[in-house]
Amino acid sequence: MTEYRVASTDELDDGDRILIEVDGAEIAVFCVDDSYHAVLNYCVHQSGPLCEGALSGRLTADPPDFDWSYDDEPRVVTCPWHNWKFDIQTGENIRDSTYRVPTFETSIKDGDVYVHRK
Amino acid sequence: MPSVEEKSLKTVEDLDVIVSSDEHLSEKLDEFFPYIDDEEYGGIKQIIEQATEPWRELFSVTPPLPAFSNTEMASDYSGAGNVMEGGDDKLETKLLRMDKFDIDYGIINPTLMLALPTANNTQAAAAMANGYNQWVYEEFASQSERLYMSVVVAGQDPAAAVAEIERYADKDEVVAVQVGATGHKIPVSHPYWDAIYTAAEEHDLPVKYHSSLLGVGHGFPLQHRWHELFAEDKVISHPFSHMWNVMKLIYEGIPQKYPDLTFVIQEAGIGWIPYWKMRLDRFHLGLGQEMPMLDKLPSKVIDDRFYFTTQPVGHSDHNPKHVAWMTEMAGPENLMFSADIPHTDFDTPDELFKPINPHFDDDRVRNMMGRTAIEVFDLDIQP
Repeated sequence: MTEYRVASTDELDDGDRILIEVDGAEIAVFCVDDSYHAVLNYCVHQSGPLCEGALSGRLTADPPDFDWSYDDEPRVVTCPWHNWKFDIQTGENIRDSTYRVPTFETSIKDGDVYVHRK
Repeated sequence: MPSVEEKSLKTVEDLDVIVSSDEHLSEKLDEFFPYIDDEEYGGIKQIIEQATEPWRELFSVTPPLPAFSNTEMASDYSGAGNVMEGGDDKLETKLLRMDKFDIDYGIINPTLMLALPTANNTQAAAAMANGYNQWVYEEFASQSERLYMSVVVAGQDPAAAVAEIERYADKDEVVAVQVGATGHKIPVSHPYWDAIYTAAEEHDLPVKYHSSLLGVGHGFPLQHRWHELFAEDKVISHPFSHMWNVMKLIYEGIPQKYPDLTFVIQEAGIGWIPYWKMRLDRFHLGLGQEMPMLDKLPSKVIDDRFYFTTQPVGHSDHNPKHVAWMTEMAGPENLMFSADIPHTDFDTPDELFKPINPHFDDDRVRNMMGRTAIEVFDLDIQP
């Protein structure tokens, strides 16, 4: 496992993201509530730049009434090409978890954010 | 594709059971009129009796040209141009026509009453459903172990529809609720239908959606304002009805709302199914934020909860492999053979059997030709 420095924590405010290239792969690191989530900038649908899309919460509906409500935790990134939506923490497509994009571990050391990659 | 050694089925005669999941009667108003309950519907019955042209006075059937104007069915929608053998009465005729094609069991649907969604008067709609159901039960379903029926309900009156479902729910011959697919004023995904779906689910009866050219009207998505030909109504009404209904049922979460309800789609063949599954999936993945109740891909909901009757398979002369491929893409475990006798676009069992038999193992072929229907409709049949 190799650690790659992404940025200083000061450079990433809440809701920000940064795109870096790591060993030929483009990876986005999102900052949400002082946590950092790294996702490959690649949509498994048609190879779009997934992580350049909006970060948002999601609508939910639960039985028995299935009334719509909004979970405002911003952990869903929407591919700007075709609107496919993925959870930045798990990499799973929020409509069907059989689709997923690679995610990577992150860490903070001495005020800097690192992404880990084999 | 199975090897030759794995196949024991050679012809339809080798099947232990053939069930047609869509068999029709050619009912006339005056046949089932006497069966309308006087106590419940005595008032409107007086008015119904005065109809001299039921197609337009009770229903709103308005094709661009006369139906089947180039066939004998123009005057008698009762027997594929009257070339099929007839018996002394309609029951005998129905069984003779099933015999002709080695169909063991049939699940009855109506013909005229497929136009029920077009009836403008709510009382008349409910009354006709009441009379029709009683007539079919007394004269057909209870008279032959080979016949089952769907209870037809009038969407115009959900309370009366629930009463009809409960009237027949404990009868072994009644195996589904027919809500119809074409011409409804309120879409079948609307909460307006909740009482009907609740009753069907409580009584373990699948809901069936049989499309109909009779219901093509003047509103989205099925309108014939610019149709020049009866044939245009015929061709477009079935797949378009189902595309709209299936989309709305799934995208609006009705299977999730009724987790024990089974959905049966009838009369549009096979070819549209894979196209629609792919299209529903694609736009669910892209626009799924509008459908948070939908917890899996539409194609998976269809695989789990929807069944399709196969007639009309299509024009299968070009390459039978194409029918087999369509069947595989549509989902062979979700298909049930239907003949649609006596209508002029009926399928013999061979129309489905011949193209699928070389492509699938024997069990899958047997399922499509009858066993899946036995399970879905809980028919009291031991194949």
